[in-house]
Amino acid sequence: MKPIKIVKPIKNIIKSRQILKIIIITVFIHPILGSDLSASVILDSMMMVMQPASSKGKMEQEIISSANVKRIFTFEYFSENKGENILIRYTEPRKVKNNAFLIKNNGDDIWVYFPRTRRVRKLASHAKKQKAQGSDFSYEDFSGSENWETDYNVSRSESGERETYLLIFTRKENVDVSYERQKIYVDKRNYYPQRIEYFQDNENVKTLTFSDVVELQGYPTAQTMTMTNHIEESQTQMRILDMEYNVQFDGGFFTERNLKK
Amino acid sequence: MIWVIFLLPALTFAQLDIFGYYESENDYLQLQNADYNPGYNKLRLDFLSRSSDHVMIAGNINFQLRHGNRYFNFLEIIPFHISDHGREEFEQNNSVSLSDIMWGAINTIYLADTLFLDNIFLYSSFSKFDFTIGRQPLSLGTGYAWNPLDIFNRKELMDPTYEQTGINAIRLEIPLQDRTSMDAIMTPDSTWKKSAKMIQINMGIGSFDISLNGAYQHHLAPNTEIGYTYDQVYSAGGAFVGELWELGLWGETLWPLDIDDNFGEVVLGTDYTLNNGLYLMCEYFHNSSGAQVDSLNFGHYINYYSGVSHSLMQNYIFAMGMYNVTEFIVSSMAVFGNLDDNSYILAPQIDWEAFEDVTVGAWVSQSIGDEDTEFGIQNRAVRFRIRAYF
Repeated sequence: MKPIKIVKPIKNIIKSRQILKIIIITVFIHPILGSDLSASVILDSMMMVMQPASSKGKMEQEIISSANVKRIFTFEYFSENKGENILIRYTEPRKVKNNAFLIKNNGDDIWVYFPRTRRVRKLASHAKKQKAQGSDFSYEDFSGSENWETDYNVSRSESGERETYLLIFTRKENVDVSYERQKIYVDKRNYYPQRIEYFQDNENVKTLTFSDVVELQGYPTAQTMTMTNHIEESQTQMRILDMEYNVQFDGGFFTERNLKK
Repeated sequence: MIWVIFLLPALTFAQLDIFGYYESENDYLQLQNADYNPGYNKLRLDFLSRSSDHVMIAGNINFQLRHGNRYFNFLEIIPFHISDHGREEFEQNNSVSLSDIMWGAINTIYLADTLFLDNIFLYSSFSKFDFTIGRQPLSLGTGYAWNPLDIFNRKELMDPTYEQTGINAIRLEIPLQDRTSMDAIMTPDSTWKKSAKMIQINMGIGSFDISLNGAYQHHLAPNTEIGYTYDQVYSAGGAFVGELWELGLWGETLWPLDIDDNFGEVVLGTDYTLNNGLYLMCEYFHNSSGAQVDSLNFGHYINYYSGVSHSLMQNYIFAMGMYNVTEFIVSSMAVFGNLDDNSYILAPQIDWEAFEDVTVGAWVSQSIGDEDTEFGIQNRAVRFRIRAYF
């Protein structure tokens, strides 16, 4: 695996200090250290460290089927507004090269571009439930973290682990998202998630594990994210090959026009 | 054409991105009087060069070598009483008397090997507009199986998403404001009058993308006295795609502006993905220039199979369910049919990603309906296709 590219070290330090401040304030405004932090405070802290304002990078997605057959996809990833708008452009393999997706408003608006027909078509938001290139990630799983606040009610529970908080997200009524419940185990040291368990019909259908966490421009960043599908007994690993945070994009970057370029 | 092959090594050194695929297809068709086993080997060679962020030159060459049955007799998919009537009309109009062999030969096409420059175009992106010139892919509209707005192409119902041949065109796309743009397309022909033109205003309203279209074409139009005739047709239409109550919704229409030309096409479709990933879609198509059951004649078949008309008759349906059986196997079941003569095709399909860049697909189709109906006559078919990308 290639090492990720670390950029703008001074900004990193500034950003690290900002995040450190947030964590210190978060912890000290509560009378007893950590133990009685409310769910919303933990969620806010997690979202703060997890999703930089914007990012640009290159990622690799390895699908490992239950029969241990492997497929690797590589794509460029661009996001702004804490993941509210995302553009994904596949670079490998040849079969999907230059296929692109524009996901806006936290997955509510999705456009897909097919280079062979040079056609951009809007998909209904239910398409976010479909697998991304046959992987164990759905397009919904790429959506911004805002969905945790808008689509779910959050509560806190005992994780049974010394180093993590447990947040439980229960789907709000009349919200069209795939998972009725999500459990997020949050690292007490840096408020970065260790794993997310996804539930459908009270069954843990998928688990996303964050590993190889390094600090990049002040943000804890998992270089490897592994989605395990417990139903199909398959696994998809997402690896960051290159990542840069707080990128300035041109006004027309997250547009249908740019999909064609 | 050969010069392109000799140019390829030089183009490679010009930092050209070369890619494409090899495809092999083998079909078995059981029709009313005969079985067919056509097939082909195809090489699609794509090349793409970006000299800057604003300029792209792209194209592809297709080589297709056919095997198996290379002669296809259209009379096999036309009910006997209709083709017989067509033969009588032909003999009367041309004052000839044809033998069965000659009549069959007139209606038989030869599937030749092909080698052609499918697309070759220059795309330039300026700050205020994008400009594309050359033989290029044009794909208009929001429909899946039918596209009334796409006056440049015709789709095959068995495989509506298969790539279409490039169209020689000039295209200008002007972004006006956020989610609003203007798109003008012209396909040059021998005269200005014969050149098709399309202008569309695209806009986003809420969760919908909407387009308003105006088109001009030198097109075959129904004529009460002589059946059909070529005429200048100005049309207006539009398309939308979005969602309502969590259902995907789309529609598309194109109608002539001349009130005497009372014909047009409409598509309405909906889709939904269940939480388990099962994708369901359904599309309805109406073509008022299509034939009615009691007026169906040989000319309607010829117009449809030659691509002049988007359908044989007036009312159609296309429905499909698709599911990822495993990470690398997608199964789907399509049903499409003619609601006027109650004939349908049931087509299960499996697509397997055998390797990272190799896909294998198998289709089966079974007709439902009387023998003298549009789809009932196409008894059954099997298609096997393998494609390897490079």
